[in-house]
Amino acid sequence: MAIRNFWSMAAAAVGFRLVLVLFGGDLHLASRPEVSTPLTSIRRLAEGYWLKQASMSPYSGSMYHGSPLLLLVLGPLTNKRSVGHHDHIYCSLIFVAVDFIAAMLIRATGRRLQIARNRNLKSLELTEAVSNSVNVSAGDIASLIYLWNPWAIVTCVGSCTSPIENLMVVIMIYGACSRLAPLAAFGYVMATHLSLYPAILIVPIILLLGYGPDAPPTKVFRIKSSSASKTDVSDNDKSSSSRDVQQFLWKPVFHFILWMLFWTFYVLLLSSIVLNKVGGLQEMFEKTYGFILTVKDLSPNIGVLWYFFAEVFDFFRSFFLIVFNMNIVFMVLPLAIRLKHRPCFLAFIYTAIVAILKSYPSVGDSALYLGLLGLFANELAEMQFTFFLFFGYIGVSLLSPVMHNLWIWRGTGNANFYFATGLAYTCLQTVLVVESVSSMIKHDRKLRLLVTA
Amino acid sequence: YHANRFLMGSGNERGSIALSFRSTNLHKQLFGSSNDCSIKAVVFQVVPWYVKVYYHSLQIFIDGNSKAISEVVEKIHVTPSEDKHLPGTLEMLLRLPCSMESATLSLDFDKGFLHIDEYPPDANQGFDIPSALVTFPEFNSSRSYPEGDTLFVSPLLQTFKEDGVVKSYTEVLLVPLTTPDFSMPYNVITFTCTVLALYFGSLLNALRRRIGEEERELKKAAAKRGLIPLLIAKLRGKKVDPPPQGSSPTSLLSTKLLLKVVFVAVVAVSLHYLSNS
Repeated sequence: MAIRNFWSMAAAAVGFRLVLVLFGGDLHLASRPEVSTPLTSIRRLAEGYWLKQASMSPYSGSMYHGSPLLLLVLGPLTNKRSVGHHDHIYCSLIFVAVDFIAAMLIRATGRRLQIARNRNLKSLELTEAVSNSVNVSAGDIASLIYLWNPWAIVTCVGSCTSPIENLMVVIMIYGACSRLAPLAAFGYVMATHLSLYPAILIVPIILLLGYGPDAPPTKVFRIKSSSASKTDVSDNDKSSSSRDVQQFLWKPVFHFILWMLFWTFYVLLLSSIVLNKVGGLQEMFEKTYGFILTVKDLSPNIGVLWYFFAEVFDFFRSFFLIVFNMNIVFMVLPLAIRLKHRPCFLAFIYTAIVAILKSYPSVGDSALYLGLLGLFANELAEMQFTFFLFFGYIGVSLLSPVMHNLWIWRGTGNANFYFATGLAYTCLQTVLVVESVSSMIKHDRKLRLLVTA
Repeated sequence: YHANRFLMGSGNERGSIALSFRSTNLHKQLFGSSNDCSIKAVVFQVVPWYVKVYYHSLQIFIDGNSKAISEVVEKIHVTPSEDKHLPGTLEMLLRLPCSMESATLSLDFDKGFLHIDEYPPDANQGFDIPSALVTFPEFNSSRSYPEGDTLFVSPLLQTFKEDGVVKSYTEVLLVPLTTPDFSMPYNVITFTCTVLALYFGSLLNALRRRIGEEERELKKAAAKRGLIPLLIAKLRGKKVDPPPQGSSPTSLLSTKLLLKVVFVAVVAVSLHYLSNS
């Protein structure tokens, strides 16, 4: 059942953003450490653009560490200043549109997942059993969660480039769910180009293109077909039930790889054109990916790595850098083995893990995976600790600016106050990820029990 | 002109560097009432790397009115700072109208966050920014000293007697930076590693959970009859016989326990004899 007031609520969310963009200049969100990181700050992008206009490399000065393509697109807008408005109003208007497009794509992805879910339940003859419990329109819920998430609103109004990265990830997931290899490859290449971490999403993307959208485990289908063959010996039922078990399609994966190579070459070509005479590709990689992997900037943010590397002894810095960077990659294979039948959920889990463990996290990353979480409202309906998680997120949202104010502006606190908030935030996200995985496994277990009964 | 430089803004996160000129009203004597004259000024400023200057935020006000950069700045040369390697330098050639009373330049900056090893012993005092140098290339100055004893000739004083451009040095700035807690390295390492271990262990445990264990848990839950009524209704269709399955595990457990006790006793006795010999 679709949400009746979806469009009015979506329009209200966009209107709310526009009001904040036009009249919220006094909030100074562009320099909040929760919103703006060295990678996503619009002020650093403006500085990089100014350096490029002055015929210097935009990466000189340890200021700009983003994509040269963003300089091309957003740089001229940072130059214009309207009288009576804050500096980056045109960028904020673009980010409002970007957020809206991302929400629409999340909704379309939810629709496709819903269609696949209904088809799978029908083939397992469980439609009546499961529809007695919750069966809501997950796409609409996810879209509204993304649009009305205060963190997404803050990121959008604060002129942070996270909405563009989020849009690229959503384009990738939607393209893979729809088996549109060029679109999925474009989103994948752009997301990886902008912030490197979406590179690990190639695993769920290939699983989505090969197996299709999320489905119960193949074991459940085999049990169903075997029980059907017991009750009815006719060959027609056996052949039709065996067709339900999906085979891996290599053709879309091959198309995706070709298009990925094409887009990669194209993006690198554009980057080299932009950086002609003022640096080059090698400096771009060193200042963007190298900056991400080596955690050079120790400005505070909402994660925990900034304080860790401000305090750790130099002798052990290399060791911990390797450990923390590998931590993201460690869980890719175990998760893929266990959840390969649910690639869209796998993409959500990877996105959440990246938001927890990346070098310079911000609330924009959390806005993305919380929006994707809404896509699985039906499967995760029995998730535990939801009350604790919800109010934990609210608590961290309120405490983080307070602790930062006490430390930086009033001087009555110190860095440990802000670090404690980052620790609590990381623990909350860990609980959310673990409980999501557990609930999905329990859901599949429940489907299997219903089939055997 | 008098050249001053000061910090604007509060808190330990960001601020502005302002450079102001105030007229000494000598221009009327030098230039009369001409309207087309202008005075050149060269500003040279070095800023250490931990003060991150946003050069695009340069603003110029003359007599309180904001001016476009291209009107006032003839040439500008910037060397941005590199973290831990290179301070930032700024050289500007300004053309200021003679009739102005005051002019102000401002640059925004963010304060850096350093590693604990990079702080000086008295970290709370703040960090120095060298003074800026303002020169007026169209004006010369020299010093004259009374002709005294001809036997005493100082090369330095001789140099001061020569003509040179007018130079004006501004104040040295003191920028307080925020400090981390210097007593926290081990605490931060242990807290962060504990959080990461919690994430890794919990997630791996959730993935590793065995089907058989969950089966038994569900049966216990079904026995309590409080959870998942639909599953309970389905499970009641099939009856499970617990008594015959229960006896053999208990006997196996008792046998294993007996074997363990015997093994430990044998090891203890053998160790005792070995230690004695």
